[in-house]
Amino acid sequence: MNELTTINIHEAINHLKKKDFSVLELIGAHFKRIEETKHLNAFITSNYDKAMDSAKKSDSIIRENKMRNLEGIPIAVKDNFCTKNIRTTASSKILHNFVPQYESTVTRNMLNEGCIITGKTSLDEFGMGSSNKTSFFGKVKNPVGKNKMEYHVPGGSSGGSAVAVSSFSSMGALGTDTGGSIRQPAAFCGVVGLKPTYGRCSRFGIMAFASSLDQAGSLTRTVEDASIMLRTMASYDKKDSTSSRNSLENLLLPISEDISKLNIGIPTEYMKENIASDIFNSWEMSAKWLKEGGANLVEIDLPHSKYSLSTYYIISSAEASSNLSRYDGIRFGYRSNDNNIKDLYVNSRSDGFGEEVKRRIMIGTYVLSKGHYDSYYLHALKVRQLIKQDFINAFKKVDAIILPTTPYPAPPLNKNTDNPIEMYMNDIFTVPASLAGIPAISLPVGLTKDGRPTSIQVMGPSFKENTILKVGKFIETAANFSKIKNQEKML
Amino acid sequence: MNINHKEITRCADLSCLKFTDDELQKLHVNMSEIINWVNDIKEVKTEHIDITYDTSITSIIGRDDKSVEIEDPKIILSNSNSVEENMFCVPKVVNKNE
Repeated sequence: MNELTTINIHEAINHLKKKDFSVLELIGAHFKRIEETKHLNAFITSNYDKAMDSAKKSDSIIRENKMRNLEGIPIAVKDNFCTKNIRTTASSKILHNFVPQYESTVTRNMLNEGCIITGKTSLDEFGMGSSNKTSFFGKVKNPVGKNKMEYHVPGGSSGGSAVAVSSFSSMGALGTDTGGSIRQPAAFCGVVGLKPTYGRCSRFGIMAFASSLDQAGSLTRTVEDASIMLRTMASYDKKDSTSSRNSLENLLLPISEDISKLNIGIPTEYMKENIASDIFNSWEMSAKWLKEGGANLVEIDLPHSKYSLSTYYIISSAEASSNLSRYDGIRFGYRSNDNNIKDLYVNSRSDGFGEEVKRRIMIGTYVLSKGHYDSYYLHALKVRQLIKQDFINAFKKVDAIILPTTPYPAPPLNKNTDNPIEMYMNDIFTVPASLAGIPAISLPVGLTKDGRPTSIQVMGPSFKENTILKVGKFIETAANFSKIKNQEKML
Repeated sequence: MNINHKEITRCADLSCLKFTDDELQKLHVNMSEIINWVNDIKEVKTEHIDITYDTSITSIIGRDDKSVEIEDPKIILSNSNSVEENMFCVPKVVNKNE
């Protein structure tokens, strides 16, 4: 493995400034690594030709001393961000040949600052799943913790992005998080996953799954890199009606690790959940580090959190059934060969969508239908308000909350289950932040006895990304995960 | 609570989806399990709670109601499988016998 692929974004920017190597060398090394790790199936579409052209342009910009904030940095992009003239599939057969004619705002922001898109990464179809097994383009393999016999699941839905970063095929990656789709794969693959506050990054050009929950974020190898990416990704965008005008000022400062005056919340309700012992130990260890660093640990109550999963699956499925009604085979995407308009709609959708997507459309249609709307959808919206209020009350006492990202480490890739609820339970610790719209970051802190990463999640009040980055960076330093990872030779 | 077969076929019709008998049977089991699983929220008292559609944004600002001219209609049509004379093609909507 070329050492140009093992450095992080922060280091690469400094090296490029000093002209220690060229962007062409950096991008070339990453494409070589993508080829070496092709068996992991992280990427759906390569952007080789355009990326190499962009690398040459970046080198010339650097020579002219006009370097932009992320000049020449290779990033992978989850395949639900529309990228102009680059195929964008949402990992679905129904969009297998779709080539957007416009750029999403987040990828536009990244390109404007000099980022180079190396390729589009796999996801659970339309972001619906926690394993990356529902992609039309096949399963993605998690290289971390692999033993002789088997791979583990990378998590989902941003599984391809998490694998690209953890396998050193990409320095950073874009993901989207609806109920944990950045944080959970980050936890399974041993990388850092940041879900910003809802509204912080524009949703324009991101294929909608559940519009009141979808949020763009990043997967990186360090907390510092997550901060660097967020500064570029975030912007007010009039093309997204829920885009926020909140200032980015506090994100422009270097991350402090001084946590001595912070109150850190420990939600006691979650201790009753079925948590794997290695994960529970990582939670306790993180709390201990924070206490030793001078933080004050406070037990908090989130009394409605036990209803989060039910609330999430009602609301997200309802929004999905509405959002996915646009796919009809007429203007874009897969089209069945029928001579009758109704058959064309039905067959294009039935052949084009996978099993999990169709199940969620059906659940969404059911909870929105006459006779069930009030008792499910409307009721879930009200419960969501109570869940949000729990967090508002908690943040009157504490600056941040810590809890595990997942209840257990990555399961084996070939473990099959016919029970969708078992898969939905993966999201038990991540959906509350999504429902409340608050920012959360997942970072690796240790390994299980068999080498799978364990992670901790830090949540903060809306638009207080600086606080969770500060706490995250403190835990990252204390855990020294990169050292553990190298010792274990996971890759 | 078990969802009845009629409700499943009604939802499939509303969703513009079709299923084989085997798929319908599996879906029936899955949907009943999922709906039973989410029924726990009904125990939450919500009589005086305001609805929240989104969580962080205090006001939703709409886009200006201005049309945007596209220089080349081929851009709009480029992803369709069936195009004639700069228009999307669809099968006949009304048949002779209808």
